[in-house]
Amino acid sequence: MPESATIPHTTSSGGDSEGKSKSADKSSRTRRLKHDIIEAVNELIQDITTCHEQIAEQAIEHIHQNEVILTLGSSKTVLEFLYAAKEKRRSFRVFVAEGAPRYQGHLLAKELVARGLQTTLITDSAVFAIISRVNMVIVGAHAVMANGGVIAPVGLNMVALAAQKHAVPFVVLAGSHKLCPLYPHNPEVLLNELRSPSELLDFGEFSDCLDFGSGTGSPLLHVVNPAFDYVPPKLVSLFITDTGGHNPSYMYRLIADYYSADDLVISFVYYILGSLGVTMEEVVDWQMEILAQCMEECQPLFYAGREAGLLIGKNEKEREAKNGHFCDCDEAVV
Amino acid sequence: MMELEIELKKASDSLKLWDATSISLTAGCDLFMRYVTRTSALEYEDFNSAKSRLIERAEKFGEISCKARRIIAMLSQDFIFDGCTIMVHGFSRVVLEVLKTAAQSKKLFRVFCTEGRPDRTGLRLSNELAKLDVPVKLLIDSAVAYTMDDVDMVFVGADGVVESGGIINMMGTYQMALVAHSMNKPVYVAAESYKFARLYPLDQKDMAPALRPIDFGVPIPSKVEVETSARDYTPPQYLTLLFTDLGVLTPSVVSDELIQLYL
Repeated sequence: MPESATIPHTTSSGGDSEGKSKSADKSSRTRRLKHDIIEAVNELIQDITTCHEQIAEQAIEHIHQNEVILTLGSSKTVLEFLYAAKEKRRSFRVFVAEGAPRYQGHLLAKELVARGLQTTLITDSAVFAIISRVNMVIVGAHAVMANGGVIAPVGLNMVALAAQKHAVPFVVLAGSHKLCPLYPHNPEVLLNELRSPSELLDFGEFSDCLDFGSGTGSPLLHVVNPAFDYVPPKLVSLFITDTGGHNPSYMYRLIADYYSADDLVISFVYYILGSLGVTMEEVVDWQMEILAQCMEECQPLFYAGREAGLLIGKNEKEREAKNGHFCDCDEAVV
Repeated sequence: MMELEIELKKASDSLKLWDATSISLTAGCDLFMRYVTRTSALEYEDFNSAKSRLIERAEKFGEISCKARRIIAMLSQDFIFDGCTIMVHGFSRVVLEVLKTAAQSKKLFRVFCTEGRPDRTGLRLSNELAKLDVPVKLLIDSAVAYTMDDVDMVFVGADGVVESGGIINMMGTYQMALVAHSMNKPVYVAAESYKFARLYPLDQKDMAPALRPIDFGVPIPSKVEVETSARDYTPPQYLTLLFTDLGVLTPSVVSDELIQLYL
């Protein structure tokens, strides 16, 4: 975890000469700005590290005695949630769908057994057959959209539809850092990641089907391997965040706490400026002026942020090397 | 100072009297009054500065309302994709602006336009769209369910947006929203923020009546009743998203925004 309180002592060559001519007022403004930003970043780091505990605290209210829980893939939040209920002496069983093609359900099943929970591992295709015997579906999320929809690992839309058919509550666990102010206008493509076909197929066996050198120049076999699914808000029964349990239609409120409307409408300012006859050059000039000012004041922070980013990237690579695959959507947070 | 406010109120009342049934006019006047008089300048002793402040705020309100259509058009651009089919109902200048902006950004789409009896507003809209070189298909109002299969989304304007998140719009909107909802098609509403009204209709008859005579072309015997209401109420569960100058909103957000506007 990078220490955000330390700022590397670097100044640009331009900054030095300018620094002498800076008035005392400007430097105090800079200090206040730095202080505010450092505080905000610390708060965010705090939120991210404690979200699992705060969500797990609410487990006791939702999981009762002799329940059957279904989940898909692996999520640290779900693991902590189930473990917290186990700690409070609730006895329940967990069905884990393996979550092809990455099969992270296998890892979750191992972890759950290690902590003493009765677990059953099933394939993704068996979800519909099992769902009528399940009391509740609990899953994690990659991102929560402004309309209450969820971007979740692939296969969860299918689980949500099955749950709706059999009136099984579909509960999504999401820390507040997963909230996204965008509306899904093209949910299948927006924020989705199409991964390599090698996770599904062995190139050796299928090399002639996937051959680009065939007659028409394009292969007859296409392999689509999306990483995420979009679950519409009407299929979600409850969101459990670190601030408590909420309806999908309430999520916009939480998002409004973190994002100002100005952030989102900023691109429309350009459109309006354009329609008022302001030329692009003038806009760019204004931007450069403001940017230059910001750069001056924030340069040390910029280096701190870059170092923090590099450290996070390094952590991810280490974890990847240890587990032998890309980080889980939930773990790629810190 | 007090008299200034009274004068404003008198002017607003006489404006509302001009069309007693128009919801957007009433809502717009109410919001204007609140926006203009909610300034601390009115408590100062200097009359001229208070007056100029009121005029300043009034002009700003007018500016925001004019720019609202452009902001709404920009917000909805992402939702119109190449090759989509849009169904529209009635003549809404906001929806026209949305489609105009999409056409100008060289998006390929086609529009199904309902006739919009008895005003025949659909014909006006199809003329405008034809000028923009957008492929338009006219339908009679009864053909909505027949063609809903080919449609990707429904776009309507609104006469008023009510507290529940539902909308009051030209007769036929509720029907279209019901059909779209049953076939899983999204219904998008484009409305400026001054149309948000402090109303909560519980059913179709719970609004102030707005009657418009219908010409059937043949004389109707006096014993036969004619339903002449010009507008209906679409409940919020049939609407997907509302595009307003306050941003993209889900129907449940409307009541929150209303509170902020009116308080």
